Amino acid sequence: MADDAAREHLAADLVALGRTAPAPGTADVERFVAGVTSRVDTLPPPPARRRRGFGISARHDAPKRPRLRWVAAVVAALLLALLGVPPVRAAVAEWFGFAGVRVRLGAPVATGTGTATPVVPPATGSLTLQEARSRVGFPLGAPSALGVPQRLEVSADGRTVSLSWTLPDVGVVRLDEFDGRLDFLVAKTAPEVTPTLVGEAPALWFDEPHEVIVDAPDGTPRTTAPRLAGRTLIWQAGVTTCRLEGALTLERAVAIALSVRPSR
Amino acid sequence: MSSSRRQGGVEISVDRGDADVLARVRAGDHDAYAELVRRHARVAVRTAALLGAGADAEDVAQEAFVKAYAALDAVRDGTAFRSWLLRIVANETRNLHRAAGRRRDRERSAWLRAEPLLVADVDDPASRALSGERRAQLLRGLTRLSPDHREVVTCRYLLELDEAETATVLGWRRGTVKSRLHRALGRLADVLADDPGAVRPAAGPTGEPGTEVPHGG
Repeated sequence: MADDAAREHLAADLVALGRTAPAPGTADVERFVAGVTSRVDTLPPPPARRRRGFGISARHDAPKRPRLRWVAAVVAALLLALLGVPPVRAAVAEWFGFAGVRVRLGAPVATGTGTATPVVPPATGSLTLQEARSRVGFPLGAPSALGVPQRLEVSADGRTVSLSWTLPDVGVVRLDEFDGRLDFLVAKTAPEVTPTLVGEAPALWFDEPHEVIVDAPDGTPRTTAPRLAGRTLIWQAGVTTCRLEGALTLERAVAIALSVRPSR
Repeated sequence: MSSSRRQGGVEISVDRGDADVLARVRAGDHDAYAELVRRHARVAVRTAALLGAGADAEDVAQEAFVKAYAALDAVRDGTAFRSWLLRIVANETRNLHRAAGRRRDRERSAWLRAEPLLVADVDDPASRALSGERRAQLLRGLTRLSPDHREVVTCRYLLELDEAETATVLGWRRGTVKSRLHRALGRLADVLADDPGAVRPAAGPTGEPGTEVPHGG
């Protein structure tokens, strides 16, 4: 074990090491800047300029790179829908912190069909947490507020762990966990998002039914039809992104989220 | 060009400049974003390189600037721009090592490839204070840390970000930064103590002759 003096010395050496890493020279920087501006020029103007045009479709420009167009479209859609709601704008700033989840605001999905009532699917497997842990590369947690999971499965691609419980008052409650370091694993289209907190961690609350699409490992949306999800809370516990779904109130969902303990 | 103000020879705020440039970008000034990129290009590339992007560091940093532009309205003011940008850089770098199971190995090899980047600049007093052997030893030690530990050490010391900015860039709470940093340093000290090519951290700028093990690398 290193004592304080040794730590300080080590820290000083690490600072010195960092300073030996050469920064790009001036010519390199200019080449770099040109590389960025040539790509930025193909993008729509920054979102702030779109404020005046409320009716602008997020997709109305057609930049060359599909992936960037997508990013711009989602961010523009977010901003467009969130204008004038300051607390939500703070959440937009945190948007990149929700690696693993992308949110696209859209029309309410349940309207018009009448039958579109979200059903929370229970997990299908009967693994133990111990077994699940050995199959995935990220830390798993379990909410002590709900006790031992009744069902537990690891997705076929090993990227998601799902736990579920059936509670006497609200029926199925489902917790999906995945590695938040992967980006854009789950896409959600929702009419409204409420930013909230789980402890100090930023979280998003979906009060209304919304669509959920799980992406394939290569980042493309899966071909399976989007699932209609009910009330959902999303937050990050360390590197793990958690998604809690069930007929819960926000307060109860947050209380459950706060009871998640790493089970490692 | 710079909008930072001086008063009695003291620069009040460097970040003020970012706020002004950001305002110009938002107002539609086409060249303003280039200025913002120019300001932060070096730190963005260094961050990507030191976080393990290796030969892809420039590409990663460019991608981050493009994403930052697309989402520019998410930045509340200029003071936050750098941290926010570096957070995107950190996320992009993580995405390079996307396959969760193999992330550790791939980062490690990216680090080893990046090693030639960390060449001592003989004119820099800071690098002169660190012997070549000690540098190599530290690099070897860093490759043996977990990704979390390496990230926190890299941000806090190699990049010299303060605790708050480290928390923002890595997307962690400040308490997490503090505790992981503590553990990471302890772990690194242990790893270095086991290093066969170890040079004891000398108090002076020069290692003692005879402590070098030629086949240590």
